[in-house]
This record gives sequence, C-alpha cells and structure tokens, in this order.
Amino acid sequence: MQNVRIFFIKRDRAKYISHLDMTRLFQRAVRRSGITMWYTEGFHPHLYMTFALPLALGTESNCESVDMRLIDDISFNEVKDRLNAVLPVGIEVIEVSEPVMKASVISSSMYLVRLYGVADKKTAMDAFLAQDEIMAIKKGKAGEKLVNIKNFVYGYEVNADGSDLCLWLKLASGNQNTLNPQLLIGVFSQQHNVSVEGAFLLRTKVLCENGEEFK
Amino acid sequence: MNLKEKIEKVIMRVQKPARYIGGELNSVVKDKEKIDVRFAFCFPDTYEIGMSHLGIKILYHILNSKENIWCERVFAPWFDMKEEMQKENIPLYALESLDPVSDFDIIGFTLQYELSYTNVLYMLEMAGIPLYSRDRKELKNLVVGGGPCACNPEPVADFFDLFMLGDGEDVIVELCDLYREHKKKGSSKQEFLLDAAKIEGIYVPSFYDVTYNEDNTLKEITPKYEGVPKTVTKRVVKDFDKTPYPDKFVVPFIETVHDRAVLEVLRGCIRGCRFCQAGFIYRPFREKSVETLCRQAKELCANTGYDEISLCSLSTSDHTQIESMLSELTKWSDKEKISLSLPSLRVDNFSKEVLDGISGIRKSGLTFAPEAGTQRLRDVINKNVTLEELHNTCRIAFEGGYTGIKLYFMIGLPTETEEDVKGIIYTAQSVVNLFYDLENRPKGCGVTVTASVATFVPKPHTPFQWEAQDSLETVIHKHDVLKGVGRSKKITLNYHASNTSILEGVFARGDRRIGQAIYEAYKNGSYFDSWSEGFDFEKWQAAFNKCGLDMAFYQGRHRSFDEVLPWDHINYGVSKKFLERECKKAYNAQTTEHCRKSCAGCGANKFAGGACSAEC
Ligand code: SF4
Repeated sequence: MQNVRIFFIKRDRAKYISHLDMTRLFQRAVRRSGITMWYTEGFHPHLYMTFALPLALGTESNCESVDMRLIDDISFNEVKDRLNAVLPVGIEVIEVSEPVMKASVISSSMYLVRLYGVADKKTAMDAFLAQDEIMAIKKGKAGEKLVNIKNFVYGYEVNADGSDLCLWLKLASGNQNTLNPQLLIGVFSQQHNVSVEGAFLLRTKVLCENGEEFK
Repeated sequence: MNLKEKIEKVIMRVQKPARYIGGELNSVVKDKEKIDVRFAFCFPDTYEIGMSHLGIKILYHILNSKENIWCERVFAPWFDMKEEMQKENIPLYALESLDPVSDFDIIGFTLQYELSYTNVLYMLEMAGIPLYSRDRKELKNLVVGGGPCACNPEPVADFFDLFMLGDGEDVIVELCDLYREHKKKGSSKQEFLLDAAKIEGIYVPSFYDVTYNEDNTLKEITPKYEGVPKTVTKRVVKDFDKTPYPDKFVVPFIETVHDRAVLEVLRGCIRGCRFCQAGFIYRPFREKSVETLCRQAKELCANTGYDEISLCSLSTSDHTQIESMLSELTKWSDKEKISLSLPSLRVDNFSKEVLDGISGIRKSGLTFAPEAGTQRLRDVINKNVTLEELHNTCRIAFEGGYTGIKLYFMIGLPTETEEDVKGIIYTAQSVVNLFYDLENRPKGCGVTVTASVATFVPKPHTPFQWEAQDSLETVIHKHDVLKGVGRSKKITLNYHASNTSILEGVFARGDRRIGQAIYEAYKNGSYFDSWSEGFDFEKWQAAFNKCGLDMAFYQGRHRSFDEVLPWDHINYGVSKKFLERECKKAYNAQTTEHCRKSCAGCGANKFAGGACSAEC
C-alpha cells in the first residue's frame, strides 16, 4: 500500500461542484478507473480519501489535492492517466506523488481575482485593502461572528487590466484561519456599491507556514 | 454579456447552483454546426426529479447516438432561480450548450404525472415560446410530448403540436428523421404535421374535431383531413431485448432522488390489476434475457462508477428467469461490491430462493402491496393475493431476519365498504400477530409494520376508467374510519388527504376543454403543482369556475359504458370491450387469471415484438 497525493485542477463549470459532492465524484471516478484503492474497514467500508483544503463553491483552482492509499502496484503516472480518462470535464489530475507535508502545515493560499468591467475602481480597491480594519460577518463552526478579516489578508496587489480589475491576494487558509476571497470582495462590493457577481476567482497556490508550496 | 456569463452571474445566488450548469460526466456535447436536428428534452420538474427518471436517460442516449441529432436536457427552474432569471432576462436554456430553448428545433416534454402540466406552460413561457400550438406558426420550436400521461393527452392537447404514444425508442428517431427532411425542404409546419400523422404512434391533436352533447359529454372526435387516422395506435418496440439501452448515464454532481444505476428488466405486466394504469398501457409483457441484463448492468456500473444498481420493472419477480437472473447478477455484484436493489416484489411468488438472492445485500425492509384490506375487494381489483400468501411471505421474511414490513393499500376503490377500509388495519394487525407467533422470529427486536394508504384515482385505459372517484370529504371520512380501529403500537399508519388527488383525477380523465382551465390557473400563478410550495387549490377552483367547468363532472362522475371517452381515439392495445368485461367482472368480485395462465383477450397480442406468454 502506498500513500498518494493526487493534485488536480478544478476549472470552468466544475467550480459549482460543492466540497461534499467532490467526495462522491472521486469515489465514482476511482471505481470507473478500475484502480484499487484502500477502503476503510468496518460496517460501511468507504474509499479512504482526505482533501488537503476545502475550496469554496464558485472558485476555480489550479492546486487542489486529495490523498488516497493505492493498493495496485502501478506507477503514479498510470494513476494520473487512468483517472483523467474518467473524470468529468473541468477536473483534471496534474500530478500524482508521494505526500511530502502534512496538511496541517498549510497556512495560506494565493488567489487571482478578476472583477469584470470595474477597472475604474482601482483607487477605491487600493484604499479598501489598505485599511487596518475590514469588518465582516464570518460563518464558523460556532455560528456567525463579526471579525476583522483584514487580519487574514497576508498580501495583495491591485491592477487594472483593460476594463477589468485584477487582484492578487494572499489569504489565510488552513486549520487555523481561513478567508474566502468571495467574502472579501463581497464586503468591497457592498461598501462601494459595485457588482462583482460572475467574478472570476482562481486559487493558484497553496502555501505552508515557511512560504513553500504545499507538496 | 453572453448567456453563459449571465447564468454564471446569477447561479451563485440560488440553492444548488450545480442544478443549472450541466457539465456532468457522460453529458453529451456536440458541435452544433454539424447538427441537423437539435432536440431539447424537457422534464417538467426539478433537476433532482428529472435526473432520476429512466425514460429521459434512454431517449437521451438513443438520440445522441445519431450523428446528426443533438439532444440536451432541460429542467424546470426552482422558484429562486426563476426570479433570478427573470431579473437578468435569462431565457430557459438547455444544460449542455447553455443555449436558449427557443434555438431548438424540437422541444419535447415527458409527461410522467398529471400535476406537472402547468410546469409545461411554465417552461414554455420561460423559454419565450407561445403556449398554444396554434400561436406557433413555424416548423421550428415544434412542441412534442410523450410518457404515460400521453394516453389521455386531451387536457393538454392545445399546447402540443403532437404526441408520441407508447414506447418512445423507435418513434422519436423517426420523428427527428422526418423533421430533418422537412426542414431541408423548407416545409411549413402544417406540411410536416400531415406527414408526421402518418407515422404509427404519432397523434396530432389539431387534426381532430371534437364535438360535445348537450349534457357536456363527448359526442365525437373525428379527423379533419384525409390520411389522418381515426384512431392512433401506440408504438411498441420491435425487439425489446435488442432495443438500445444506455451503457452510460449522465452522472449528476449533486444528489438526486434515485442516484444510482437503473436496469430495466422487463416492460409490461402479466397481472392485470384493475386499478393499475401501468399494468395496461405498457402491455404486452416483454423481458430482457439474463445475458442482456448482465451485460447492461456491468456496462452501466463500469461507465458511471455507481456502486448501487436497482432493477426496474412493474413486477421483477415475473421475469421468467428470475432465479438465474438473480444468481448471475449477485455473483457479479458481490464480486464488485455493488449493492443490488429490487424494488418491486410480488407477494405471491416470493420464494425463499428469491429472498436468499437479495439477502445480505439489503436488509433494511421489505415492501408488499396487498392494495385492499379484504379478500372480496382484492378480488374486485384483481389483486390475486390471499391473506395466506401474504402471511407465507412475511413468515419467510421474518425467518430470514427481516423485522420491518411495509404494506401498501388504497382507499376509494370501486365497491369499497367500511368493512374493506377497516380490513386494512386488520390485515396489518395479522402480520404483527404472525411475527409474535413465530418461534424462530428474530430475537431481541420487535416488528414494525407500516401501512401506507394511498387514495385511488381512476385512470384511462383501465377497467375502472368509468368509475366515480371519491370526493375529499369521503376520503377524510374513510381516514376517520381507519383511525377508529384499534391497532397495535407496532403498526405505523400513513395516509394523507389532499386536493392534489382530486386535481389529478380531473386531469387524468379530462377532455380538451380542461386545457383552458390549466391555462387560466397557470396565468394565475399555478405551477410546481406536485410540490406543496406550488400547489394552491383555490387557484384551481377559481380557474375552473372562470371557464365554466366542473371538476366533479370529470372526477366524481360515474360514466356509462357507451359514453364516448376523451381517449377513445387513442389505442393503447387494450380494447374498450376487454376493459368493459373486466369492469363487469370486478362488480361480481370475479378475478381474471394472469396472462401466463390464460389469455384474457385484451388485444395487446396484435403488436409485433410482444409475443404474449400464453397461447392467445
Ligand atoms: S393478449 Fe392475452 S396474454 Fe397478451 S397481454 Fe392481453 S390478456 Fe395478456
């Protein structure tokens, strides 16, 4: 048995698949691929799998990962190819490797956000992100709480690109703190009365405490 | 902003965005430039319900296997999505291309239950397509219908250009081929329809004149043109075993009602229960060979990744090879760790072998349908099951470790008395007693017997098509009688009185005039009538009043055998004479043997491809 970390992208229409539904999706994909993976024991055996990080509905990603335990004696490349042959459009395995880090070391994610047609709001966005305090209601395990989400913004860059506004955001991710970029731009859209619906959001990197990419 | 961008803009605001965006595994995307006929397959209910339905999977597969046809799926947007679509001017669109439904050549609705009729109008309106057939002048946007409710399509006849009757597999392809020819020629809609009416199984309602008597009953339904058949006969596929069956299903991302592989084992029914419309309109009985079934089961699970497969039919245990079928299938499912479920078992031929075949796989509970509470009434409805047989079966089940039994009953059946109603509780009680009398019953746990009591709605093409349906007051009274009978705590009694069954009854046996009331009710805000969120009986009463129509005339009236019925020109293979014979036998509590014992002469043996089991 071999632990494998399956890195995949989630793009286009696949971004509407919820985290819960991703579990079922991978269960079925593994069955279709014919690869033997390890199942939990007990009364209701199910495919063992753990995702490194949840991804918010509506956000695309280049760097998702899920861990499984491979039973078949086949190469990582074969796992990748056989899964890709049976995954729905928008989900694609880019790499299969041996897990290097524990998911608990993840501390932040990089996001690219494109807000369509609001390039003229660049100054407003700069000012918004420069504030010391951005208060928002966050839903957590213990219910809703008003928090200063600026504490979870670790870095940013704002650029106008044609008529669009592009943001690079480094936001808290992981067990400790997590900030969903949709929440951040939602607060901006409320304060500045601009529509950010249909915005393009892409997670580009998952980073560890020491700044290294999660592997 | 293009349509896809608009859709993406709104779907994050609604519940379950994945309902509205397609992209699922095995959904079919083609290059529309290379397509001759674009077919929008509309299911007039939510995504979760529509995606659980087998017919759409079969026809989607068949149409998309043709190079020049592209079939896409369309479901009814839920209330929240409707609001968003209207705000942003998003027309109803299909899930594969995300193109507006108004771009499609053919718009097909499957009519699975009567209460979905307003959703047909709702979807057409959301698509920006005129509701009435007469207001759609072009060949494009041809609106067609099919499914079991097409056996009396009259209530919705004015909204449809044509209906396909019976098995859809062959006729839907013939329809598309004919459409392509006419599209190429630049024919008018009328020219096309005249040709379409010549295809067996296609009914063009606008080609018939309907006249009425002074007492509001039907006088005549006659073809307007030469070459239009006086009666339209349903289609039956030539060779059921070889008829294409999907080797893959579209696998939804979100959980649907039946989120599993489904294998159609047989079509039609040999039993002839007199209340059951499906038992008549799908005749004759046809079954797939064990070999075909095993191949299809394997392919389906391999291509979808489902770990559950359910066998689908009106009565799976009537398969002539039931035992070898189950042993072959379980051999495979055990090995692949696939769970096999068998929803429709009959009480009378439920053997220990069958139970062994499914045991170890599903021990959650068993369901049986005695349907009526006394032997007399069971004879009336031709449910050839005795109390003894029910007890035998329950004993086998209890001894096999089952402790939960679900019993289905109906109230409102013809000739029913209070004794029959009370008999429902007595029957359930006798099963409880049986359990405690058994020495080798499962130890350590009690028994639960659930009695589910539905309301009978008389349906066309059945021996009870002439019967009066109970009013809501009568139904409520009968429920009181049920409650009044003392019963053990081990019995859970489920029943529900609702005006929905009244409306269902009106639509089921309605004539063409009903269409007006459907239109009025829809315009007044009625849609999603099969959902409590949508159903509002007052709106329906207002609509019927406005149109000068009386619901009780359609639903609560006993008809005479010589009355012209709205579906007399629609032939589903079972003759009116046969149904009349069966109805008279019912009045005498006389049963009819099933088709394998002897042929009752229903008429369905005339279809090629459906050799009936008995020597007819
Ligand atoms: S023709 Fe006879 S055997 Fe065939 S379905 Fe009808 S009653 Fe049954």
